[in-house]
Amino acid sequence: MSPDTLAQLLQGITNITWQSVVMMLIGGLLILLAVVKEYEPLLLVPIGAGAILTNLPLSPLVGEDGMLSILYNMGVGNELFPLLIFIGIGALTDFGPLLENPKMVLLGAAGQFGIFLTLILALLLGFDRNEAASIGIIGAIDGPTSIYVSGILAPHLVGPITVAAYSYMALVPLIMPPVMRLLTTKAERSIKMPYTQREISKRTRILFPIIVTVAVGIAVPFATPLIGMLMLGNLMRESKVVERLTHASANELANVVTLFLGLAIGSTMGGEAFLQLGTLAILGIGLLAFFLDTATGVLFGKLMNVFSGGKFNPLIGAAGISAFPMAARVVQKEASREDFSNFILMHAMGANAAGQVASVIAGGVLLALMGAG
Amino acid sequence: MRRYNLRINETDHAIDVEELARDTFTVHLEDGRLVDVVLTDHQDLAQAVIAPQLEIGQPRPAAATPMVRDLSPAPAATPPPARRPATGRAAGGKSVTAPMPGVVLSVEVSVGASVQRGQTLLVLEAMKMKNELKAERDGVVASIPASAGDQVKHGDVLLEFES
Repeated sequence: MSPDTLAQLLQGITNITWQSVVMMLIGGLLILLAVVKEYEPLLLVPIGAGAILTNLPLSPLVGEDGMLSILYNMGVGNELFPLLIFIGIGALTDFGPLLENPKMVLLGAAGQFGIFLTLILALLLGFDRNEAASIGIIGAIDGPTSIYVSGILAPHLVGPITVAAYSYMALVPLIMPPVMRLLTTKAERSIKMPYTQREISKRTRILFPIIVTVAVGIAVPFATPLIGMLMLGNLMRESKVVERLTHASANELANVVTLFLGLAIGSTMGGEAFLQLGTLAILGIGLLAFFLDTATGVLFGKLMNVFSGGKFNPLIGAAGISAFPMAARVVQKEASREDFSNFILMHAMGANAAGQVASVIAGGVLLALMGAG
Repeated sequence: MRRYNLRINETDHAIDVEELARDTFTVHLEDGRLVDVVLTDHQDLAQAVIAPQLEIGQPRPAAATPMVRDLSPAPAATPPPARRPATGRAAGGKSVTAPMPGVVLSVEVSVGASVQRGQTLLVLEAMKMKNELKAERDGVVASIPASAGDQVKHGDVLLEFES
């Protein structure tokens, strides 16, 4: 047996690098978080698996004909997967609470300030313009939007940005409450708000997605793909005539694409590219973005409370950050923690749905600002 | 929600008034319209007692009851006492109503049970979130119109206390 043969047989072992070992451990950690803590398991399991598979020595899954690379080129490099997921999100989103209470749109907008604060911070830390904008979009607190924007502006950062966005989103129930409690008084948290159930006509529900798409598409052309797919899903849902398509978008399509997306994102987590100080900075700034978003949302809620003469519960502002529908649930939990008979869930859901739309628009605005083409 | 049956010029009308907060009401008209009403002020004008005295326990307050009387924010000053406290829905009131639309997941108490303030009465799922509706007062459960699986609207009575 010649030394060459031996080297070929043992190349799996000889090609192990410390970076790949660390990345496999990180992949394992993501899977652990998903299994034990149930943090966004639908995404973190495929991402973790993708990271491990990519970092195995000489992995045939990445490279020209590697399955993971094919998935990446098929749907992440060209933004197809996040858009397909948006159809499913639209099919799952009930804009009823927002239509009942249209002023919640303001809170959806306020919940996006964190994006721009984060962007400025990333610029100060030495990231270039496109990278900073991609990191800022973590503050949209919306996974597909983050992937979409960073995929266009800074494809080499899609991995860490996605991991940051989804991990922190899973941690929303832990991240938001301290900020909310810090910025509000007990009396403010206990404010009860009257809720009126208005019947929203079917016509309004059907016209809403169409009008929003046209209006946003004209105002922010870069947001057209995202808002268009989101509202397509919602139009199918509200039209009630294509239940099979609605069901398929919200379930089969979204599930299959989530699997593909997770694996493809995991495949971007190659050792040398991922293990850099920049990744740590992204994880740090991303967390800050969540805090800033929550804070600006709550502060805007306080402003609305002032204008309404003390009848607006500022906690609802925190639901404007997107992370639909988890943020609204956290708001309700905080309110009932103060007073178990206080139900502001429907208001929070309205703000939350507005935040979802506002995140998408903010992503489009960011792309326009960066002059992406 | 309170229903007023009014007879105006020999024609019967029914109006439902839903109390959202102590000064905010939704009035359901017969033709299905909803009118939001905010009570900005009310006062008794000299010698003009317009509110008929409705006896407690009278099953149907059939006369034309000016709503303002009944919905007074200061119950002590209002002749018909303890009919419905003015502070928000069911705050210590007789009935527990749905705070938002949803599906009743489970009923945690049974008729005749005596419950304490803070005890979970029902679990209402709204927007895919489980909400525990807790008793705002001590009392004995008189009836539970809602049962698990019911789709309820905002304001629907889910449970009533004795007295």
